Amino acid sequence: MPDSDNDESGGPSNADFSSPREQDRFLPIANVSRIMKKALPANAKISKDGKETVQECVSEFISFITGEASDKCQREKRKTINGDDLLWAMTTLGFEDYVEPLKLYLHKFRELEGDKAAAGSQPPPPPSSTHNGAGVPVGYGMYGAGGGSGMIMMMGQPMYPPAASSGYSQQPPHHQMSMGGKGGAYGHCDGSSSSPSGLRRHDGL
Amino acid sequence: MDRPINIRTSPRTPLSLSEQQTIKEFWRKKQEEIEAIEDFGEHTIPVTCLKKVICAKKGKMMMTSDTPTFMTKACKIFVQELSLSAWMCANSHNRSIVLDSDIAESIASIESYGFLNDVLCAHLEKYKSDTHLQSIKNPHHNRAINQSPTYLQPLSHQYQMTQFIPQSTRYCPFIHIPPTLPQTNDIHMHLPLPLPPITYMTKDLVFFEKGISNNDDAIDLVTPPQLLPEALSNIPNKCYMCNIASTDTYCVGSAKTCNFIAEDGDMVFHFPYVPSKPFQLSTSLPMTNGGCSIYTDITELNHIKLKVTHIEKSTYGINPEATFNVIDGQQHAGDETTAANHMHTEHGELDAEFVTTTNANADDNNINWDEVDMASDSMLMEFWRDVMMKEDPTSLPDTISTNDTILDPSDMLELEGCCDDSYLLDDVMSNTSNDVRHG
Repeated sequence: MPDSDNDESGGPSNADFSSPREQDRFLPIANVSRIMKKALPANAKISKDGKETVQECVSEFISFITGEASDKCQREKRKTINGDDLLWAMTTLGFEDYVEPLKLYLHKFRELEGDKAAAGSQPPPPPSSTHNGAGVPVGYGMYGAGGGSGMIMMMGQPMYPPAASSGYSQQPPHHQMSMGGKGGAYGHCDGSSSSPSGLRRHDGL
Repeated sequence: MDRPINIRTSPRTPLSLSEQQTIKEFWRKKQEEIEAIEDFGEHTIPVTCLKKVICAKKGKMMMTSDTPTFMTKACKIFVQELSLSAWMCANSHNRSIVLDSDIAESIASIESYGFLNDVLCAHLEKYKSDTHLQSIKNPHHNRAINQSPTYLQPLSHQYQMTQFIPQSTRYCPFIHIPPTLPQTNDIHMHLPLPLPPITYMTKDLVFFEKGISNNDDAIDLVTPPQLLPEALSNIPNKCYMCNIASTDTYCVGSAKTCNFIAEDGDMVFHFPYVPSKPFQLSTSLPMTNGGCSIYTDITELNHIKLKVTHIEKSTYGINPEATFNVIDGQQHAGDETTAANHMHTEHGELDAEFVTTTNANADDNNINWDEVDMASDSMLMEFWRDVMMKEDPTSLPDTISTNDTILDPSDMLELEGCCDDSYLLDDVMSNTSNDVRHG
């Protein structure tokens, strides 16, 4: 009989529901099916129609309970629904068997939630930066290298002229140092040679 | 037609003892399960879907954090109770498959499920369009949140060096160094500057001008024209430059004779290396040799002091030498550019001689001139300090600075021949301040 009924109703109207609203009205059928199987023996099977019916029923159950709790909050001039309101609603609506397990569940949840809140309030330790500290010695070393290299060359030159290879290897640092010394002369020359030097002197200051 | 009949007769049928026992066992298991719960993190029903269902009819509600968790558990118990009851109905019909009719029958048999009667009626009506519902219902899948961490690129040593060199190159043509001791700080900012030979010669001329201006205005007016034209017309002849220096020494006065003799000695220190180059350029030999021999005798003691101080300083530059080489590549470009500009601006006739010399023996020439320049720097600083302190007492307040406090003790050290050490300390401070500035 059910099969024949299904065949007879294959054709009629299809535009009763819209997709987005339909999805939001029901819980996922996969989750509902998984919960159903846990309550039944291993040899039990559930038809697709059976799953869909339970899916609709559980959604109706949610609306039924939360609607009653919401009405209670409105009567008491409160805007937020909490667990106690839901417990009260279930008692009122005839689900007395649910109250004891759910009361225990709610009590445990609040205990654990309190512990998590305490743990989460610890501030993270401030990070320490070592990059800035390392930069200064490096810069200082660079300048020191210039001066020191210059000194080495000056010492060696009068007594022992360096060979071609050693002279080439010493060239870069020595060259750097020498140019530093020339800067003073260049500045002096500009300052005393022409009238535009006034502008340069101002820039220097 | 069978279904309505089943529904009507179900409430009248009393539950068997075994069924009642099964239900009691169900609730006992639920109590035990909840007592054993230790983690609320896992939800069998997604919280987002649950919230959507709650808000579908009543609109948006405000709820505490325990509400979704509570409802998730309540729904789970509801589904399992309903499923168990339906399973018992299926068994009563000798079936192992739970059908929607079994669920309807169990709803009718439980008093607290009265609110579901509307669902039953709606379900019967929707039964006709079952195919349509199948195509619409889709499970919700939560999207995984991907958070990509951002890593800040740390500034490397080479990056800092690259940033330093362009600045000094850009500033060098426009910076005028005032005639005071703080000039030491500016010297190290002009790293990519002209070639040593040219700036060395220029520095001598400028130095003598300023030295004279501090002593006598009349001489200042006369000396510049004599120096510049003669230098331009007699560039190949180094001896003539030496003579000019000697003349200035006597004009200033007897009080400065010692210092100027030291200055002359410094020039002699430079001459032993210059003649080797003029030989290649075919300049006059007798005059050059004569000049060298004369001044070498006078400044013999100064040579010894310079060497001693150099030995002491050599220990500073051994370790950090490698770091210094990083900048080498960029120096040459700036050096060439600045050198060319400097030549054309200051001394037109000098171009031919010094450009040729540099191209012929770049390495040897640079080494020799650098050495002479270093010695010259130390002597110039010494002379300048003496002039400021002895000839113009009133100008001391203008020159007071951290550099002065460092250099004052060197007056005592000067007698021992350690004056160069104090200059090195001064350079170190200058480098440190430069580093801070650019950092």
